[in-house]
Amino acid sequence: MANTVLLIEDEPHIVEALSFLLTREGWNVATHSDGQNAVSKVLDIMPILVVLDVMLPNKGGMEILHDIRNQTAISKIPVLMLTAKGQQRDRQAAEEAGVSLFMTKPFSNQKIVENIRKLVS
Amino acid sequence: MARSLLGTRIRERRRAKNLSQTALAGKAGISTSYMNLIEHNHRGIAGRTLLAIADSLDIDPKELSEGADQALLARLQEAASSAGNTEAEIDRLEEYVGRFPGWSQLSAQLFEKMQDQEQRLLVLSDRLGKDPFFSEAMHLMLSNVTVLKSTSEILATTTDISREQSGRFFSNMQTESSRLTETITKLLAYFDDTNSSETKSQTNVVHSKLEQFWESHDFHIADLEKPNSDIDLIKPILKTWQFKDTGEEEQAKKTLNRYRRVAEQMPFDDFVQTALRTAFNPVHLASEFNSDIHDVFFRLAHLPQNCSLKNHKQDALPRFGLIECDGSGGVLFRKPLKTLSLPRKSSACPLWPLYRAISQPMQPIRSVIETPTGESFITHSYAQWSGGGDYGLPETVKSAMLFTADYQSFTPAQERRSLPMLKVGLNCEVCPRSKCSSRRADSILDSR
Repeated sequence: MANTVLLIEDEPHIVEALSFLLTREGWNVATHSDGQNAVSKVLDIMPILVVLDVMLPNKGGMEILHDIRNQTAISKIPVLMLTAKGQQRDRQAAEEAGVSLFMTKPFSNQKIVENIRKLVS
Repeated sequence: MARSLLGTRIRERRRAKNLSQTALAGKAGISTSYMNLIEHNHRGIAGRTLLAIADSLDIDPKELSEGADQALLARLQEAASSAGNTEAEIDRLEEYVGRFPGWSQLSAQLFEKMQDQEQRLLVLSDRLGKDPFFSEAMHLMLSNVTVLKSTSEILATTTDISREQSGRFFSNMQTESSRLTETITKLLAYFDDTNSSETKSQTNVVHSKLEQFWESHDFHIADLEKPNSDIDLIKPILKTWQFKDTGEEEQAKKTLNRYRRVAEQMPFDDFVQTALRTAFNPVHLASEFNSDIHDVFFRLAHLPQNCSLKNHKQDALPRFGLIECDGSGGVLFRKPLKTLSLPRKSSACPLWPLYRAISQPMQPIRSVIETPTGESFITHSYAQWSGGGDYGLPETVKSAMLFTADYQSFTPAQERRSLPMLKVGLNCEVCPRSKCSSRRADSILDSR
């Protein structure tokens, strides 16, 4: 789907809020709530950007990021990581794995929309 | 002891007895001017003169001549240096101790008290950083707050929102508020319990001090790797750490002695080469070195991380964690990894192979475990009889689990796939695996 942002996040109320925000900005939104098969979902949808939670059931966000960066077809897709764990080591690990941007929860709606806009432009 | 302190002490003792300098000099059989020089630290004394003065003051000569205050001086010097206080007259410290023994004792006691409190703060801070319950609770609360913040921002700033959508958002906010309240209540109850027992227990402090000790050495002590190392190598290490409690010092000493014994039995270079050749298989290593499997676990858990490996496909040695427990699950030794917290006393996930090994002593178990956050570790677990039995007493057992996340490079893919994979947790309170049949306590994640 063209112009689609994929949200990989297991907290349904965060997904609902983000979906609302991003849809209003004109993007299509696809969602996935489990670490398992998350990379397949990216390959299926070929989104313009992935919003990826760090803590996911069955497979962690860091590992998913690593897999995305190692799949040629999707390796260039910008990935914005969200985490409630704002520790420096998480940020560093994400940067080493090739994250495009790292944001901590709770985030400002305005800021996350601005960041997504910048990353896809 | 420097003579300056001796003179000052004589003066203070004389004043305490309301004696004039002339009177004391007369009693001791020396001139007043000489006494004046002694008291003002311009003359050192010993032998007969010292005995005479002590006798005249009706005190034991040792009180004047022995370095009974050396420890006090050392504490005060430490206090001055730890405060980085360059204004303190270090060169007049002995005079201070001699002239104001009460005040100097008080200063040292206050310094010790401050150090104890710093230590306690470190323990609490360490606890907050590593406690899986606290960490999970914080994670949950931040998720709750994220929903509340984001949703309320939408409601506050969006005017053309449908009634149905705003109704859903309000409902979401209500749900998240309830979850947040529930998590906070559980967290407060947890800290209440903790305050009433565990953090106040000396054992916990002992563990933390020992943990700091090992962490500061990154679980590797190069000095003890030297062949034929002498017992004296252990004493300076212990001295540096100044364990205040004899129990914790004994525990540290016991572990250091074990370290030295194991290092001698499995010399570093030989051990590393053999470990690389046997793909870090503890059972093979125990056989090669004719050693105890638990000692091999211990050796692997204390390998250095900065060791460069030439002519090997690995860049560095894998980082191993280790937990040892008794038959009741009580923790005896722990080396956690950043990605796998370990309990301080007991109560980890009952599915850990560490506990399964207790039910089948002398049989090594190898399996891969996966935590709820998706991290996986290869584990080697083994329980063995630890003796200590007597007529009528049961044989006790000790279990250990060695684990590492860095196993991909040295475990062939085929072998990895053949290993049983266990989905485990850290402990029930923070485990999201709601359908686990081994659950023995509610999870704070139940509120999700």
